[in-house]
Amino acid sequence: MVISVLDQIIIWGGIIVIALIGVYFSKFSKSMDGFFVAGRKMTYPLVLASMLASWHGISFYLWLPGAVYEMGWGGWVVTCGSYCVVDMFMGYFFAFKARMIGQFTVPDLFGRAYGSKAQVVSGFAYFIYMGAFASAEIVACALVLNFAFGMNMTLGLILSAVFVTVYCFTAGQYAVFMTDFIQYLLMAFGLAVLCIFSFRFCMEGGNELLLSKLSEVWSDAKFKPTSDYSITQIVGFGIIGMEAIMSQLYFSRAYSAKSGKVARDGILSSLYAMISHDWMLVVIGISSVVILGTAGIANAEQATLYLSATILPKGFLGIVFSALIAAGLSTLNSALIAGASNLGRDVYQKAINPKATQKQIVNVGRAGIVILSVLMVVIGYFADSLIMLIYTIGQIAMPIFIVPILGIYFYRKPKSLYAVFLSMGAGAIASVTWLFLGEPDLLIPMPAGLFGVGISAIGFFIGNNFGVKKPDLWEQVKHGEITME
Amino acid sequence: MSKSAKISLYSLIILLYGVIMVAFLMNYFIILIIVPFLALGWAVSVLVSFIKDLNKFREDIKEDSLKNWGEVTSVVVEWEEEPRDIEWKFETAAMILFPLFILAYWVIGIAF
Repeated sequence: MVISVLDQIIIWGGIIVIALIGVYFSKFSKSMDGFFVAGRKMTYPLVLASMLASWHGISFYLWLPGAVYEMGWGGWVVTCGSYCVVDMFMGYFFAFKARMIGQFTVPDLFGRAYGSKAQVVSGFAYFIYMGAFASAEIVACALVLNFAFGMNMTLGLILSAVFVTVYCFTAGQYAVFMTDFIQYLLMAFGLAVLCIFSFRFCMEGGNELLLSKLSEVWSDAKFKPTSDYSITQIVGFGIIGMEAIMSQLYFSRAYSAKSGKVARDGILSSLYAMISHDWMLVVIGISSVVILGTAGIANAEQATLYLSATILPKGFLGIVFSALIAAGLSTLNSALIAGASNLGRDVYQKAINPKATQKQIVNVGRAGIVILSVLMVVIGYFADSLIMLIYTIGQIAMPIFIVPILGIYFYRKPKSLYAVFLSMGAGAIASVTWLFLGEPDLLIPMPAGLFGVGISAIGFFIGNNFGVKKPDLWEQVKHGEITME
Repeated sequence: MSKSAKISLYSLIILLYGVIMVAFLMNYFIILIIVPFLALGWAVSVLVSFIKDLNKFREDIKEDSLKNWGEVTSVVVEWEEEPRDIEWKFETAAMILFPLFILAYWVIGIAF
């Protein structure tokens, strides 16, 4: 479908405002601190807004209502339950500590805990991961552009990539935080509008009438908290939800906060706000079932788009689509800046030019933004579906990073470089092999991510018996041995 | 915000979230009508909080616009104790309650 002129004006207006804000804040990014961690001056509302906007991307806004539409309301519990718990755990226990040791990237922690070679290798791995992670977002952005303007998917992918690259390239993390703030407000308002209209159309007759309408489409299982999902799927999504443990989006928000308390309260409050957004998406999924029925759409991931187009009047549709695009851009820009910091800080400064100036490091990071943009367009071009893309990337990435990071937090003994190398390598090979074999059961349901994490843990403890060991990171901090350089 | 106001507000938020979580289990979806207002409430509070401290924030970041690309510097990281304030107490309560709800969802979903 092609939407009305008024809606198109609203969408393009929103995009232009975001771009202008990004360009304005380029003047603050004249140091590594400015470009990668927004000067470490971000206040509570900015941390909250940025965490939510970057964590909840457009792909999430499309596939969660799709999951509810297809599988029942348990789509939320299964796909988001573990991320909510893990996020809460991370915010509560580690946001303050992360800000306190205030580095630039997650691989900085690898360097402090395992040695500088671990920082370089994990930095490169994270750099590639950020491109893969962002590819789901760019596909979802292209889907919206295709739906709204009839734009060719490939052109949508390229246009989204070019736009977000330009303002990340010039303005860095300052722009990310400030645009995330606007994008968060837009996302909250846009989703609320869609939610309220949905209620008007499908929930006026009370709960009984709603349940009877849902029963015409949903089987009994879809009214259960875990719907039709198999235990393998529940565990598989549980593994993906553990992404918060390794997420650079999470750590960069903590590093950029003004203080440890701001990091902790901002990140935890963002989680409570995120849950309210999740529930709005559940409403949209349920409303899609009632209003569109099963015959309404071919692809469940487009439920939000079809519902919006069906029930929203002119003007409101533009607001909702602006909110969706804002969700995509905010996650894309955060991923690009995180990846840029990996290439500049972890790879270039640590492995190639230790005496590099801040400007050189940031320029390499900028080159990284361009490389990542190309990478995400290429991955997005070959992706079959959003949910499979997110699932596959999650199942491969978790086993690479989770065990070494948990090792930093919980294994309070000296650690060796071989522990991280063997853990990352074995986890990657195991998960890819398991995916290739079709994720067979092993006495219990065994998704690739879980199998990979298990092998990665074995690799960690075997590797830790070899080589020179570094003292525990937290002991180094307590004794004043940690510096930011 | 005063301490008693904070206690009232945070208790209300926890209660509201608890009610919605229980309503889900009972398939009482109509309760979700409050969700968009809850999300808008968060957004408005964030906006107000940002505007309230805008001048201070602008002063704070001003020096960054005057910087000119310098050399890499080194800063020693100092250990700080985490404050056990009123926010921390409510975050602790949420940290216990919310995972219990999710666990209950999974157990009920798989068992029945």
